[in-house]
Amino acid sequence: MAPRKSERIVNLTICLLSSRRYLPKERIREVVEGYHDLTDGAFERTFERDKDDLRGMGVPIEMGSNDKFFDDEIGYRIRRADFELPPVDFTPDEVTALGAAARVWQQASAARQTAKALGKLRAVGVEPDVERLAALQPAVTAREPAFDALWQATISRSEVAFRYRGSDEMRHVEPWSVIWRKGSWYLLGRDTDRDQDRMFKMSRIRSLPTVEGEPGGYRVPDNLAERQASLEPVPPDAEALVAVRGDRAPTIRRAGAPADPPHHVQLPEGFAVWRVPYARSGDFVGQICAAGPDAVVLEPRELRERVLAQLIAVVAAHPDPRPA
Amino acid sequence: MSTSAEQVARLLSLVPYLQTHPGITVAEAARNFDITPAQVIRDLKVLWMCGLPGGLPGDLIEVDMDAAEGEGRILLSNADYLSRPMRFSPDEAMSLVVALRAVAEVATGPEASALTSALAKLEELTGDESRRVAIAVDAGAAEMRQAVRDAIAAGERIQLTYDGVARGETTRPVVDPVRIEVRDGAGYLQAWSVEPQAWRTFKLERVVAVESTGVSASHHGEPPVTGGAWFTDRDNPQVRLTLAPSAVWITEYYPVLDVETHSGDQSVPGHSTATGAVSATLPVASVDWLASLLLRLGAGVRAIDPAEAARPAVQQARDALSLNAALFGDHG
Repeated sequence: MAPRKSERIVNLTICLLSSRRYLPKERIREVVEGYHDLTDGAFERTFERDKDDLRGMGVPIEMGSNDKFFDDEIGYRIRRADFELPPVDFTPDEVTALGAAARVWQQASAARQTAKALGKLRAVGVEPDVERLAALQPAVTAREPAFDALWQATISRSEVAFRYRGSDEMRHVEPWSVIWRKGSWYLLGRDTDRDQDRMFKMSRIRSLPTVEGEPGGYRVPDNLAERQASLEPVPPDAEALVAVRGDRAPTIRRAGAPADPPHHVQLPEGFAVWRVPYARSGDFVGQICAAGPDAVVLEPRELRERVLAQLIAVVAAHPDPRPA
Repeated sequence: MSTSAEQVARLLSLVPYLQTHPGITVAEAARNFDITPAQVIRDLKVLWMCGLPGGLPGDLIEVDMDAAEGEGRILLSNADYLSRPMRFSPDEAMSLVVALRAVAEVATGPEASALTSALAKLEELTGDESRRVAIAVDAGAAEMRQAVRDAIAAGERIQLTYDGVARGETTRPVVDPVRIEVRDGAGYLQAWSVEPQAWRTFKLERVVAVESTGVSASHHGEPPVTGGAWFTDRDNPQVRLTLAPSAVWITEYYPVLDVETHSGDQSVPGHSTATGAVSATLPVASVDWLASLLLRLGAGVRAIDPAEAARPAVQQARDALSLNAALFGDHG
């Protein structure tokens, strides 16, 4: 009976959309095909379900009465302005640009939603050309199992619960936003147990998130960009002088600027000195060590000592398996 | 969403679509709505029974079913009251906006400005949702991307200045650029490298300069398909690392073949393994890559199997220590 149900709901939509006045339930029952043959009880149940279905699709059904002075009967209507896609006016270049969105998503449900959105634009005569900017299409992936649930919860503003990292503790979070950075998805939200902002890397979520709260259950703060700053690299708060061999260790050289060697240092052949800003809380020691004998810290002494300690640790951690 | 809810949502878009596209083929409509042609016909049969309340013949949507089932052309009329589709649902709006923002991150020139203005108009149409998602792609400097794309379009051979990370060296390869790709949040250039006469992939972020050579690119067929898993090649040699908690992050950063978390008692002989230590098997992209990984992690790698795999890293650490000793006359 699915076709009949679709028919009835489309007819209900057209009926509510075409009426300027609030239509009482009894009137709806009379005029909408598919209701009048039902018994009272069946009509009540069916009408409630149909309304829920429509609201679930995002159709804004209003309830109200036509006359505020008399205790008029409650009725229903759909305001056209709330229902219809507002007028949009894209330039031809913008329309071409829209087409590039079609193949970006590699995640099934988001890809489907994008296709539906483009379908609605086509319905108003905006014809995005999917082929024109084909060369430009980046792939956005979402392999994290938690992604779908957290995306939905972020949209509907519903509190979720999940296990994070090594702990068995259930974390309760009000999702504020989802962020894609360096190919990984993150969730920013309020940890309701700790009453603090938290950033969660979705790949570290160990249980499928479950929805715990009602949709629209909280407000999302305005300054989201500020609160996402914890994903940004820590800004440099110190400077080092590093000797780098020729074209080697590019990540260190690009971060810095050429500098003169200190007087007391006799540079080895082929090395040049770079003044490199770094964050003390970051992994600059690891970066220097990774360059092996291609980078030598000249200053500050404290940094040089940490590098030497780590190099000694590498030698100590891997004793030669073969006697020399 | 139930099947009928899905169908109703689609019908509410289909009716305005068919009115703005009179005479469109069943096949084309099916493609646009990502359904089968048979489903288009079923949808039309539902619409045929829909219309204004009253049920009089003039109130119903008119669909030429003969034309649809016969010639495969759709003519739908008498549905002025459904001339525009519904607003974007929050999910549709967010999905579309993210896709466009991703394109905007890699676009250049006039395309970039068209994308920015299209996004601004869309964000006005959508609600508060579109600010609840942020997206960033490491695609390097816009001038580099533009220069590479221009060279691809013109079929030109170019010389890159490239900060290679695997070998930790800046090189100046001469390449025939073929295509720009974005995966895992970063942009890559696929190109034929003239020097080793082989396909190479360059991370756009590390392209520091692009110079023209005045020579046309030659044809080398299609570059190999990189697919989803880039460096997880199981044919590569593998190592098993025992990682301290401070180094466990690498299992999320690099492709790993398997990861095992140890409880306190499964300690590696000769090492005290605190809870949280992890063993991971990694494919080794190159000897240099593994050496720099071990050097970078330092004491974070407690053991490696096979033990010989640590030799290049240990050698480099010794060389670095000697160099320091030569410069400063000490070990610290």
